[in-house]
Amino acid sequence: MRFFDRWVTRASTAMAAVAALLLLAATLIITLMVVKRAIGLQNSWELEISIELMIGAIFLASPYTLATGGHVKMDLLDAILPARAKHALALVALTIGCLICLYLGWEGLRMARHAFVTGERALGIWQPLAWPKYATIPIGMFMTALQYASGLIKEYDGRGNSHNEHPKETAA
Amino acid sequence: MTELQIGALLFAVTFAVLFSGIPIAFGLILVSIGFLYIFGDAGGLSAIPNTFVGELSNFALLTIPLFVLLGSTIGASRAGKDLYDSLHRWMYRIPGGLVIANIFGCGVFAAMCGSSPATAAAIGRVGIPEMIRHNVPPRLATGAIAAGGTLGILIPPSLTFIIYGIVTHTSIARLFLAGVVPGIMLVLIFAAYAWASSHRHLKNNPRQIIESYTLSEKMSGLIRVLPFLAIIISVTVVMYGGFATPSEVAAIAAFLALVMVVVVYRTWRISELWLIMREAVRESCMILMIVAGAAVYAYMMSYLYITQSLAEWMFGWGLGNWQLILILNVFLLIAGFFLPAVSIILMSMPVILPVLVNSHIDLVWFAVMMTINLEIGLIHPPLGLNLFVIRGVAPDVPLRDIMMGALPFVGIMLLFIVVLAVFPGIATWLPNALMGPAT
Repeated sequence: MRFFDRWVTRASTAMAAVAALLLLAATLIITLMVVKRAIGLQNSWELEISIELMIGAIFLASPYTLATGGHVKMDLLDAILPARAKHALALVALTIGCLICLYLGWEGLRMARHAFVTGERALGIWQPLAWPKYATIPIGMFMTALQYASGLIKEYDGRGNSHNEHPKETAA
Repeated sequence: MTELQIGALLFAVTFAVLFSGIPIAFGLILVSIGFLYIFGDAGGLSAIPNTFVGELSNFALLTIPLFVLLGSTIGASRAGKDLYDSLHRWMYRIPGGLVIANIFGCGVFAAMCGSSPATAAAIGRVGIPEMIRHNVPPRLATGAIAAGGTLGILIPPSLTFIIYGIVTHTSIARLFLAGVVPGIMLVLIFAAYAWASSHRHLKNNPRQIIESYTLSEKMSGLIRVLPFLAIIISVTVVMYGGFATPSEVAAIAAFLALVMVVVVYRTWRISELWLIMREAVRESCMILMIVAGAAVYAYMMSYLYITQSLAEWMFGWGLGNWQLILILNVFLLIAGFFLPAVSIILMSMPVILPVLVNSHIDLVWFAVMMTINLEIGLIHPPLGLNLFVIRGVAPDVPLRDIMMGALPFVGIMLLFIVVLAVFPGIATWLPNALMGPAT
């Protein structure tokens, strides 16, 4: 189980690093777009690719965001419930979160497959292929589901957040 | 069940799900799937994935991660410390100048990074120990920074305004301008209150700390901060001048800020840049997942005719504009105690917007009032994010003292909302003067 935890954490961090590069690339491309326009050149591919990069970055960063407590949640009940109820609630919340991610991952996979088979393209001037954008959804959401699974195992083993006397404060 | 009854059930279930500790983005999707399954049909359910991804395929939304990148770049640098040091060195001779320097520091830093927690953390980390060392009461020191930090979502660039602008199709440039005067006024009022409180205390409990700074010492920190201020001012001019869209401005500002932290602060190691980028993708992912989740939620409400029924129901009250503004302000204030600003805007605006439009209420003015309400949520339990941020940077001050210290500022902001309601020009004058009246 420790191996699984470690593997999921490393994979999530690696995906966050890719997401960071995508965001950086989007920043540079939009800056380039403005510079090109300022010197009288035409913009063609910049706008669409920056949207694709942003979507990719968001989904790829999702498991790391979950692992580091970044997905904002309201854990008010957590503060007032007795330990056993807190543990049960944490198990339910983690299971539901995992199922939602599996659902989104599955739907993303269907969208990516459909876009790949039909050669679907995004709207706009450049019209890039849509499947690479959609492909980041199953990758990100299935990995987020694995991150949830890792959290579930920890919670079940008594190593989860609900067992900490002072659980980590969640950002909002 | 009628649409209104379904709406009431939806409200209760949403809160129950969100309180259970499921991330807000996933909780909204869960509720949407559940309600569409029970009260809708297969057609409604099948549109969820496209709504979820389609919402993100919007160039305007790029403004969010890019301004977040700008904020995390400036927040991770030593710009906050330099800004604080230089303000302190210029103002240390003024009685109570230290507290004023801190509040001004919050206002200026908020303008540079656009994030309330980042502002509270950056200025609080250096400002609170220094104020306590100079005998400022810990309650006041922490309360002032917690409240000063909230200005991050009011003074442009503000993520709250960006999201509001996208949801309501209001000009983001106009919203940014509308936040300037109320932001400056709140800085001045906070500073006046903090100065009056600290002055009285310091007069009764004097402690002499001899300080003196040369002109070069005064200038040194300022010189390092000036490039960041120049970036903010120049991109603001570019945006208001109509030369670039908010997303483009955000990209240029983030790019220049990254260059500046490399050049000015020698932040060029991969590990240091990773810290900046890591925060940026983490926060962007969190916000945009909520945006996508809220889009599914709004779609579900509209598909089940709940949005329309709620809006019609509210029209049926026959309220005057003042009563409506009062009710909406109370609602936003209470919602702000429990939910983060982004979620409140995304979840409530689909219902509130038609009511505001029908009542001919200025959307820019309302945005500023709403933002100040949401600011209060940042320093009021149970959510009170800034309170916890301050607790993190000043661990020696009990949380209770931080909360008590923030309480007078909550009062000030409530009073300011009343003033703003009576004098809308405080918010609307600057955008109307620079961009012409809204059409």
